Amino acid sequence: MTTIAIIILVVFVLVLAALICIDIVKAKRANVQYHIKQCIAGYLMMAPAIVLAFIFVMLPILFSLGYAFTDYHMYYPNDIHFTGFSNFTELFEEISNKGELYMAIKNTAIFVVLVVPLQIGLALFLALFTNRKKRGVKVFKVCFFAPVVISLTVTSFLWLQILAPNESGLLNSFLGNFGIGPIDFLADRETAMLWIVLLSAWQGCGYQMLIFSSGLTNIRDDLYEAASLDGARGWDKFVNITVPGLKSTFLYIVITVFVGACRVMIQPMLMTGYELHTVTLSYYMYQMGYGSKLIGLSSAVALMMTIIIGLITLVQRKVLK
Amino acid sequence: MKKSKIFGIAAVLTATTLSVGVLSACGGGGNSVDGIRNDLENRTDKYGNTLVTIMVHKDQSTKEGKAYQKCIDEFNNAYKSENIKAQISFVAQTSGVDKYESTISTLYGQGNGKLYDVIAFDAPKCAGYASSNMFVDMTNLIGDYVDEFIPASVNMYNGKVYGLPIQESSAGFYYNMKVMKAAGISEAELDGYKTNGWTFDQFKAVCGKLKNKGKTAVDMQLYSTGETSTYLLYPLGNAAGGEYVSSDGKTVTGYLDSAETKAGFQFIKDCISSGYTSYTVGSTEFLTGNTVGMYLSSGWTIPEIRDQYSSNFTEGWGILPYPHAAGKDAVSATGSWSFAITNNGIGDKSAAVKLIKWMTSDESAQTITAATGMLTAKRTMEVTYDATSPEGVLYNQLVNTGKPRPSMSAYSDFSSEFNLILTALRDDSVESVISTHVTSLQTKINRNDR
Repeated sequence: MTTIAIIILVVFVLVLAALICIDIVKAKRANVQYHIKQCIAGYLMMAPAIVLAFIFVMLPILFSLGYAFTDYHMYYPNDIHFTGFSNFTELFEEISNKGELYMAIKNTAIFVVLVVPLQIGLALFLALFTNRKKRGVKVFKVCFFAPVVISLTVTSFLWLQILAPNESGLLNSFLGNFGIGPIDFLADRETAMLWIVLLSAWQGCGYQMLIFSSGLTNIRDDLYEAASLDGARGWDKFVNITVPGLKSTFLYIVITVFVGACRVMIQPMLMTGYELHTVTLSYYMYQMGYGSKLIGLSSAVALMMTIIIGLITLVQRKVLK
Repeated sequence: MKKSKIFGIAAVLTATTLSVGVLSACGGGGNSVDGIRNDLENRTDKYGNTLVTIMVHKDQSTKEGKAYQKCIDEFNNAYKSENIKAQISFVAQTSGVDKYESTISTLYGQGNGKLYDVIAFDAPKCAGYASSNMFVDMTNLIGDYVDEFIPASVNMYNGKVYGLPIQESSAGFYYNMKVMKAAGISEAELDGYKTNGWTFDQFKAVCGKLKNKGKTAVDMQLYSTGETSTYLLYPLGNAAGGEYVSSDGKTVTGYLDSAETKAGFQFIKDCISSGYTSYTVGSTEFLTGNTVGMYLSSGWTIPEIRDQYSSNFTEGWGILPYPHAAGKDAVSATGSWSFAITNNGIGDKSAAVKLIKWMTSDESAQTITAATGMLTAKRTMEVTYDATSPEGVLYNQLVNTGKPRPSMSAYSDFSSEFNLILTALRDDSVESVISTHVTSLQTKINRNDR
């Protein structure tokens, strides 16, 4: 760790020097007098934040990037070798053999494809519902937002109680009144992921509802009034005024929900455990790192995941712009 | 003083303080013990005492944590004249990202005496730690002392001793006498199974009687995830005459998919498909109602029944041993937490040996098992259980039929695959499930092999 501390210090000093040099060059080009002392003071003010960001954000990313090309094993922390692309070769082999990684990718894709439109659609519907100027709407807003402030662990356990595969489960107890069940919803290979999607959309949509709500308040009322005078009906106003007005909000929400959905882990972990029909990419990566102790391979999965998410996000930005 | 100058000085001071603070925190390492010099030969404090450090997996406020603290206090009193002082750290084991295990790995990586001299660890992880050279081979250091323990409880790897058990555990089939009687099963019949053992067929016959009375015959905790399922159900494969992995822990092909091991899984599958057990039994149904005949669980359920659920067992209860295939030896679950001496860069292990012997002595074992309610792993301790009592059945199993979980570096992968197999048995045949998982487990073992 002492070596790491020295490296951090050196990098920090170099970055600071580079920033000052850039400032001097910029000032010279713009014919502005450069006050070196004030600038240094400014950068030193920023220093704590830069150091912390470097240690807790940049360094882990850089380490993870490096580990992806090694055989780092948690039990052999002093015996790490550079292995080139062998981790990636192994991962691609696992995908081609339809192993656990293949299932993780497939499940994550299903989750993303279902949860992104569902969560955003639900959030938009709730935002439109709570944006009306009627009494008591704020109460609904609080209710819809409530699941967001509850931890995912708590909501997952709550849903476990609802879906419990015996008469103590709320849903099975209800179905029992009609002579149905008990059904083990989360063990069913076809439906388990759907329940996880439902839980996630329910839990997350409140946050996006708030963002949509603030987007809706930015749309001028006179546009709706003018449309009404022109004889436009509700749907027409929604398509021609609301949707274009929410375009930038929509782009932000699509990207954040998509990235969040790609990282899903807590819900399957708590609701089903490590099962092939619900394992996701993040869960697989976690299991590889903390279960199998293969930090190198786990980092390779992380890098692969980052590249995939990054590329899809770029495509989304292009398409939605 | 100019405003900008004051501003500049304040900025420099803030930046320096925070930056140095953060960097020194990084350089400080993990849970180092105050006043320790990292000599590499041994550690001493400023008073000249030889320091020996130990880390346990429980919080200090728990009954078990207090028991460890008591043992350490007694050690320090006993070795005061020899100037040896033990210091204990409590790092509570958590689920998920396990702080306890990551602490071990991080401190081991730092070397220079940072890792504790003695650490507690879960028995199945012994092979992983031993093969990575994290643990010291204690075979010669402790000599005959190992004979004081139940052989199946000692943590061996490649024929050498790497860990000594703190306590032991075993599991069995709890039964509710009221439910058994209702199904026409007598106490004498059950006592016969306890003393003579029973076969898979006899087990199924009892299940059949319970099912005919509309009961769930047995809760095998198939709904459990993680290590619980592995711990409770692995003996059935061995009790069918099979093995899961080769003796060096590196090959599953030919073992996991052997006819004998598959017969063990087939027994579980038969119980599922015959409706004797299911994945949907409520986890406390056996304890709170009269709808479940038997319940596979570890010794920790004994105090639960006595302290919390006694009203549900008005006509009595007991524990039946693991059944086995006809003509094969019975096998039962073993393995709890143990102590090991670490390769932490400290050359002189004499103080660590003294500490580990103290912590596993009869007196310490008495203190710790009294706090945890677990079984003792010491043969030298006097045990006065009645052969048919719950503790008696578990203890006799442990001594006579106990078999540890597979000793392999990739144990966590084995456990994970074992769970996947159990889940897959719900829908698929034993043949197809095993053939799939042999391949994936072998891949994972190969990845771990260095």
